[in-house]
Amino acid sequence: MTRIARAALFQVGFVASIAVWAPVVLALFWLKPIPRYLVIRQWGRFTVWWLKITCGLSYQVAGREHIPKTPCVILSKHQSTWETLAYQWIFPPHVWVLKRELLWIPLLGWGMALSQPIAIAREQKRRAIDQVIRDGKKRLRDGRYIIIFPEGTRVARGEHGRFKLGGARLACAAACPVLPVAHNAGCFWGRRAFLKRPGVISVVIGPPIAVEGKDPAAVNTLAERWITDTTDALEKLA
Amino acid sequence: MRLVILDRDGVINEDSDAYIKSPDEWQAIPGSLEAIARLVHADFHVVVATNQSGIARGLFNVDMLNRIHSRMIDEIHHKGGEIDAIFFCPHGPDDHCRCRKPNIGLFEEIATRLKTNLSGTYAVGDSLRDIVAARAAQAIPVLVKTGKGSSTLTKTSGLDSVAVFDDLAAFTSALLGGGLAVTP
Ligand SMILES: [Mg+2]
Ligand SMILES: [Zn+2]
Repeated sequence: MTRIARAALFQVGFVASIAVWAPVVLALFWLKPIPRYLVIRQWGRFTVWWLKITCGLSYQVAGREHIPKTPCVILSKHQSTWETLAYQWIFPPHVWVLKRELLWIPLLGWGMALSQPIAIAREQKRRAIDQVIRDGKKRLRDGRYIIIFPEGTRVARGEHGRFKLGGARLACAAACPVLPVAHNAGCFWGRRAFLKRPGVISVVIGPPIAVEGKDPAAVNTLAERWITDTTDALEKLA
Repeated sequence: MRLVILDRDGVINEDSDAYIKSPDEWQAIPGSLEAIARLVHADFHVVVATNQSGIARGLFNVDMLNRIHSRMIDEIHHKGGEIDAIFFCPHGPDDHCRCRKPNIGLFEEIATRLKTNLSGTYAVGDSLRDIVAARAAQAIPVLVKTGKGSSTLTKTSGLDSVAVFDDLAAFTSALLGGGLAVTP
């Protein structure tokens, strides 16, 4: 099969899976958030499995032992759709910080809304940060990890965006560690690319960064340096 | 199971940018063969996990690789050591295989064949690929400064929290001297 046919096959299954899962998730509105989340994450698991079957793209995770036993703020590189799918299975029950507009997508967005994301309006910067801290602290207390892509959007392979301070500020406000995560998904599944390159994506989870005695800017800089360096190294290996 | 996983080039023998293509080009790093013997005498099983993309690149074939490994095994025997098995990836970067380090395949194969899990097992390498593969397989990565080790150390500030030793001999002394935790 050509790569185009494989990618098309993946896409068909991907869209079909949303059509199947979203109504199921919506029908489970009455469940408590974490049990409902356990259903939602099966969708992420399916899509990543389907990607392996159709496009020969699998993954491996290094550094799982670094994941703290109690909820924390996960700061990750963002290069493709892949990480939003795979992280559902890799990390403990978590919520995303995402653009409010994403929740307006039919089915997919409605399902996502039931995963209790912190949905921010990006045009209102000040309020967005306050909301991340307020809702973030609440979700952490409820036992959820918080996943934030500090560059704000998907960044192409070899590039790095400015790391926004929100995640580090939340961690400092909630007195929980920051878990830095790097990966090289963009080398296999580019931002907006339809074709996928077969291979093995490497995800590396770094040692948690303690916030005690540091200000958010210092925490952010440590995370940024680790994530950028590790991503550069992983890209060379891909 | 007391097991140590070794990379080959840059850990047991001197690395070469021109690849090790024949038994003659295989030169042990001073002290590495004795280190393997010491591990074996301390009841460790030693296996090798090595990328050999020279095969995919057409620089040598599997037959030649076997001859290179015969020489390596002879020299190890000579010093009183033993290795249980050699796991190698014959593919190149464009083959998209799962065995070429930093991918996890060789380590998975080791775990399956030896019917063990690798958590607590030390995996010694000289490059970032070795570290990523080892960690992904839940083994404990160790970096030696021989081969590409020194340059790996200066080039990658990203992957800290990895134990570093001058060479395989120094790692072995630390392990057998109780300087590292051992999980049987
Ligand atoms: Mg090597
Ligand atoms: Zn291979």
